[in-house]
Amino acid sequence: MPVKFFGQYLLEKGLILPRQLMQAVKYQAEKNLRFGQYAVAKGYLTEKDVEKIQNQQKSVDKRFGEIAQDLNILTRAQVEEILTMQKNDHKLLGRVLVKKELLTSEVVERELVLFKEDQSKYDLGDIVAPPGVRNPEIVREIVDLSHKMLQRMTNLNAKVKKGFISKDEPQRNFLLISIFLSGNLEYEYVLSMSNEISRLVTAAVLGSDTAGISRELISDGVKEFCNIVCGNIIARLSQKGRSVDISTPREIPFSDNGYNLVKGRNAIYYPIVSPKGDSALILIER
Amino acid sequence: MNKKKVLLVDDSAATIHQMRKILEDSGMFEVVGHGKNGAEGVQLYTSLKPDIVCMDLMMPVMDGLQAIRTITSIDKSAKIVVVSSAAGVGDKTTEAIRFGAKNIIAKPLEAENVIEILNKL
Repeated sequence: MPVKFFGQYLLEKGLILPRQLMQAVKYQAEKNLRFGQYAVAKGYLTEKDVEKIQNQQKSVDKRFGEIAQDLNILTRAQVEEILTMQKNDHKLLGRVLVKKELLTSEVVERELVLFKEDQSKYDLGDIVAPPGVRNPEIVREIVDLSHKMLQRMTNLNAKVKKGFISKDEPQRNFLLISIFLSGNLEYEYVLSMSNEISRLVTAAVLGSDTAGISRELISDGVKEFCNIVCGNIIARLSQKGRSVDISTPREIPFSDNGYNLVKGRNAIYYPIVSPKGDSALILIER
Repeated sequence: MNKKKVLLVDDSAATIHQMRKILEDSGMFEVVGHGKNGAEGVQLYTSLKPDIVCMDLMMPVMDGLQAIRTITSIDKSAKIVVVSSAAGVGDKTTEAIRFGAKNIIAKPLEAENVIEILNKL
């Protein structure tokens, strides 16, 4: 089961109708105020301050409160006060559905347990981000989810080795597929895959074996795999309040001079070892 | 039993391949065409008049949200299901529903889930 949000889960199970979900989400949007709105209501910030911080958020991967503290226009205590208010006032979807009499509280409680059980498959494992990387928690999430999805979709016994930072270009491999992550997070996500793992991944995506299929379709299968993994990553990040978009996947060509991918930037390498050859997840800071 | 006619719109040949297999193996659906982007999807919708459209969100030329909006403006009763890797992102899902999608299927695809959702339309 992929990473989902609760509303989508209820919709898929046929427990609510699309228009009922919209009704509840609209109510949430009206009632759940944003950080800046609280700060203005409390008289801590002006509308102009909010606009300034929102503009900075477009280029800096920081939360609203963090930027306000950096600019010395909110104190740490004020940020914490607003976060507590926001948390206490937050209208959860389940409660809204009960309030609007679209579901009973018994059904919501029962389904929340099942939903959390389903999503616990993607709970964070013991992957560690190398010292000095930006957003270490998010890097952990990305690597962990990629590893879990690779294992779940292919039944491959793959292990992620310790991550390290390098400016070197990757070693030659059968396929290198890249996707750009942009928005609250700026990374280039790259999977380097051996021939055998590429075939396994493609077989999982196609739902059939890969005997006799072209290299082009294998490349397309791995691209789609990367797309699925990154889609699930941004779904997970959106649950944590991070708005991230992904580009369409592309294959990185290998030339006589090697790959021209990292181009002297900081790349976090996570080698992935398995009986079907070696792969790597590479996150390049943009 | 008459099979329901399905139009697939996705820029990934791998997804088209998998969806076609899931739908045709069920014996309940017939894939009548596939488009590689939203614009092709709209064009094929008007010419093929399918019972159901399975629409990806992120595609070149015209994305899935725009295509859903265009198709539902032509035919309010169009039965469109989003099939996307980003389906777990709440904002994208609710936007698709606001534009007229009837349900959402997240990738990786599970055959039983796909058939169940399409059967409920």
